[in-house]
Amino acid sequence: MNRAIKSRLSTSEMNYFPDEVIEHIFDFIASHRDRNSISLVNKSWHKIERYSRHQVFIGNCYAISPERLIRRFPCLRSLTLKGKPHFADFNLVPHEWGGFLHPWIDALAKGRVGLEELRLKRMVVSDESLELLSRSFVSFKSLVLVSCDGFTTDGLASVAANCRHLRELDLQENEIDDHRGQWLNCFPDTCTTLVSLNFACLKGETNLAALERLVARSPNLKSLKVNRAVPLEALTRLMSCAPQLVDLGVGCYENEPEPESFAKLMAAIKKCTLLRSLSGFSEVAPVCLTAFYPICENLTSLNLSYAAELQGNHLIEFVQFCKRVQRLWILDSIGDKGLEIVASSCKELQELRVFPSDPHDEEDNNTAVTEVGLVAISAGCPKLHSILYFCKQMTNEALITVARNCPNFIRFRLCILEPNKPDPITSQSLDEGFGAIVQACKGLRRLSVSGLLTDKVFLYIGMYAEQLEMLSIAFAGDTDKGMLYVLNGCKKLRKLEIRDSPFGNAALLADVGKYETMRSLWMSSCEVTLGGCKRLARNAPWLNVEIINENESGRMERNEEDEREKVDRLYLYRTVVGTRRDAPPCVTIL
Amino acid sequence: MMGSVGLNLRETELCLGLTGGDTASPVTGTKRGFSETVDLKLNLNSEPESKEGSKSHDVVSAVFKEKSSCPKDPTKPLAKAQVVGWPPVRSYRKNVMGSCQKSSSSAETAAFVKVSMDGAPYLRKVDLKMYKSYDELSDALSNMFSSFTMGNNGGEEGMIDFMNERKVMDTVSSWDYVPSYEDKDGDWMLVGDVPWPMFVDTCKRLRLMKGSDAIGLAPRAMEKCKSTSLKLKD
Repeated sequence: MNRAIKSRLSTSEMNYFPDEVIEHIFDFIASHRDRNSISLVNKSWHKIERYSRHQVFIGNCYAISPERLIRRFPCLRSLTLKGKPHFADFNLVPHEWGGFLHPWIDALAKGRVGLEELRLKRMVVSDESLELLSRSFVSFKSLVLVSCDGFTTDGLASVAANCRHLRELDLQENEIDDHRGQWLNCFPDTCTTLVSLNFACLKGETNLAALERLVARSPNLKSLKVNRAVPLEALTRLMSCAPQLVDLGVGCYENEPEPESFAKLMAAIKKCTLLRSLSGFSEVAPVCLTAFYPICENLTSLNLSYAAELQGNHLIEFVQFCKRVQRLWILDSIGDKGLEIVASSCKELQELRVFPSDPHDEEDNNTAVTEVGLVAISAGCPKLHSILYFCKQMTNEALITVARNCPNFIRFRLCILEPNKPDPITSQSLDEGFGAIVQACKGLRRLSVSGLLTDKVFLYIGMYAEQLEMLSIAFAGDTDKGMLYVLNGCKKLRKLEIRDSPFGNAALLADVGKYETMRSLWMSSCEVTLGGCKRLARNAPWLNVEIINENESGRMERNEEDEREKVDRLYLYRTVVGTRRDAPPCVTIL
Repeated sequence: MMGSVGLNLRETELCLGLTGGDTASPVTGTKRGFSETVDLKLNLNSEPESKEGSKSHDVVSAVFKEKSSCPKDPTKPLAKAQVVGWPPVRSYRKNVMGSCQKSSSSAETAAFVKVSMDGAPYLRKVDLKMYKSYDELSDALSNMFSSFTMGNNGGEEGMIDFMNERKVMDTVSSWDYVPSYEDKDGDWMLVGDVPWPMFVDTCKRLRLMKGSDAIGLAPRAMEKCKSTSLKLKD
C-alpha cells in the first residue's frame, strides 16, 4: 500500500469522512490482500469495501461457494477462478476430479451480477456454461481460459455470437474439441471491439476468410494469436491489415516459402513497428524465422518453446538479436553455448524458461542444457528474477554461484530430468546448492527442487525461505523431519505439493492448524496412510481432505479399508463451505 | 575406456530376474519409489570420493535403458519414460511437441493398427499409411470382414460401406457395425470426424462396434442421425 494512503488510514480520522470519500480512497487499493486487510478493520469499512469491490480472485474454487461470493460482493465485475490442483497439469489428477464452472455461471446469472471479466485456470468448462455466460451478462468483455477443458468450438461460437462488447478472448493451452465449425463466422459484423484474440490451441482448421474479415474490422486489436492452420500467406494478409499489433502468435511454417511469399511476409512484418511480443511457431523453417529480423530488436517477449524441430544454431542466431527481450521461453536445444550467447546479448532478461525438447531422453540427446548454461545466464543477466529450467544435471558449485550472482530471484524452478540425480562431480546431494539459493534470495516466493536431496535441504528452506509461498517437491527427503522443517519454518507458505517422497503421518499431523494458513497441500506416492488422513479430517473440520484412489473407477470399499494402507494421492484445502457434492467415485472426502 | 573406470562391470550386466533386497543402500536409504528402482547395484550415491562419478553416470544411463526389462519393484517400472507425470511438463505441451516430432518421421514408418470386429473370432491388422482416404480404408475393411457380415444379413447388402456415416446410423439399432478408433489419449472416437492425415496420426486401434454398443460413443451424433433416419423412413 502506498505510504500516503496508509498514513491517512488511521481510523479515528477516517470515521469523520463520508462513505463516498472512503470508497474513493479504497479505489486506489487494488491488491486483493490489501483489500482483504481493509475489510477487517471495522464493520463500516467492511461494508464499504464489499460494495466497492469489483475484482475477486479465488485461488481454489472449492474454498467458497458462488452464492456466498455474490452475497458478499454484489458489485462484482471481474472474477478469477482456479480449479484443479497444479499437478493436474502432469496427469496426476483424474479427469473427472472436479472444478466445474457451471455452478458459478448459474449463480452469477441468477444473482444478476454484472460480470465483465472471467479468468479461469484448470477448470472444467462446458459448452452449456459458455452459452449461459454469453447470454447472461450484457457487459461481458473478457474471457481468459488457461489449461481448461470440457468444451468445444460450439461454446466459442456462442461467446462470439452473443457477447456484443467482447474485447478479449484468450485461450491458453486448453483442450478444446474442435468441431471445425464456423465459430469465427459467429462474430457479428457489428463486432469491432476486439482487443485480444488468442486461439492458438485449437487443433482444427480455421476459416481464414472469416478471420481476415474479423481482424480487418477490429481497429483496436492489439493481440492476435492464431493456430497451426493459418498458413504463411494468410498471416501476411492478417499482419498487413493489423500493423498496430503489439502481440503476435503465429502458426506452423515447416516448409520453406516461395520467394515472393517470403518477400510479402517480410514487408508486412516491417510495418508492425509496435510489435513487442512474439509466440506460436509450433514449427518453423529457419528461413521463416529470419523474416522477423526487422522487428526482433523491439521484442520484449519471445516464445519459441514449441518449435521442436528448430535446431539450436538457428535459434541462437535469432535470439541474439533480441537485445531487449525481457521474457524468453525456449527449448533446451539452444544448449549451454546458446545460453552463453543469450547471457551476453540479452541484458534486459527478467524471466527465462528452458523446456526439454526431449522429455524422456528418447533420442539420447546431448544438446540438453546443464549447469553451465544456468551459471552463464545468472552472470550475464542482472535483472533476472524468474526461472524455470529443465536440465540434464546440476552441481552445488553452480547453484552457489547462481545464488551469488542473482540474489533477486522471486521464482526459482529447477527440474533435473532424472529424479534423484546427485551432483555429477562430487556425487553428493544438492542440499548445499539449494540452501545457497534460499539463503541469498530473500524475496523468493516460489521454489521447485529436484535432484538428489536429503532432509537437510528442507532444513535450509525452513530456515531461510521467509517469503516462500509455493514449494514443489519430488523424489526428495529422507524422513518426516524434512516436511516438518518446511511446515514449521515457512510462515508465508500457501501451497505445498509433494510427490514420491518419504513423508508420512507424523509430518502430516504435527501441526494441523498450519493448514488453515495455507491454500492447499498435495501429497502423492508418499508415506501417509488412510488412518493418518482420517485423523487429520477429524481434527480439522474446516479442511476438505480428499483421497484420490488409484483405481479410478471404484469407490473405496468400506469393509476393505485398512487404516495402515498408504494413500496414493492426498489433496487437502481449507474451505468455508464444507464437503463438496460434485466429487466423482474415485475421490473420497473424509 | 569404460573398463578403466574401476566399476565392477559384472554388476552392470543384464539381469533377468528381480535384483532382490541386496542392493547397497544409497545415502538416502529410506527413500521409496524411484531411487530404489534406479539404484540397483551401481553404488553411485554412496561413493562420494569417486571422481569417476560423472563417467559412471554415462554407464548408468546406458545400462539404465537395458535394465528396463527387470524392474526391482514390478509396479514401478525402471524406464524413465514410465514415471507418471515426470518430467513435470504440461500434457498440452507434450502433445504439441509429440505431434510435431511424429510428423517428421511419419514418412518413414508404417502405421499398423489392430482392427477388431465385434463377434469376429480374430483380429486383423492394417497399415493406415497404405490408404489415402477414409473411403479407401472403408473398402479395405469391408473386404477383410466381408465373410463375417455376409452371414448376418443373408448377403443382401454385400460389402457394407462402413464410412458412410448416414447409412450406418440409419440402422444403428440393428446389427450393423459402427467404426470406432482409440486415439492417442486412450479415448474411443467415432471414425470420420477429423481430416484423414490427422486420423492416421492419432489412431492407435480400430474397432468395428455392434450398432447397439455404439450408443454411448457419440451420443449427440447418434441422436442427430437417429432422428434423420426416422425422417427418412417416412
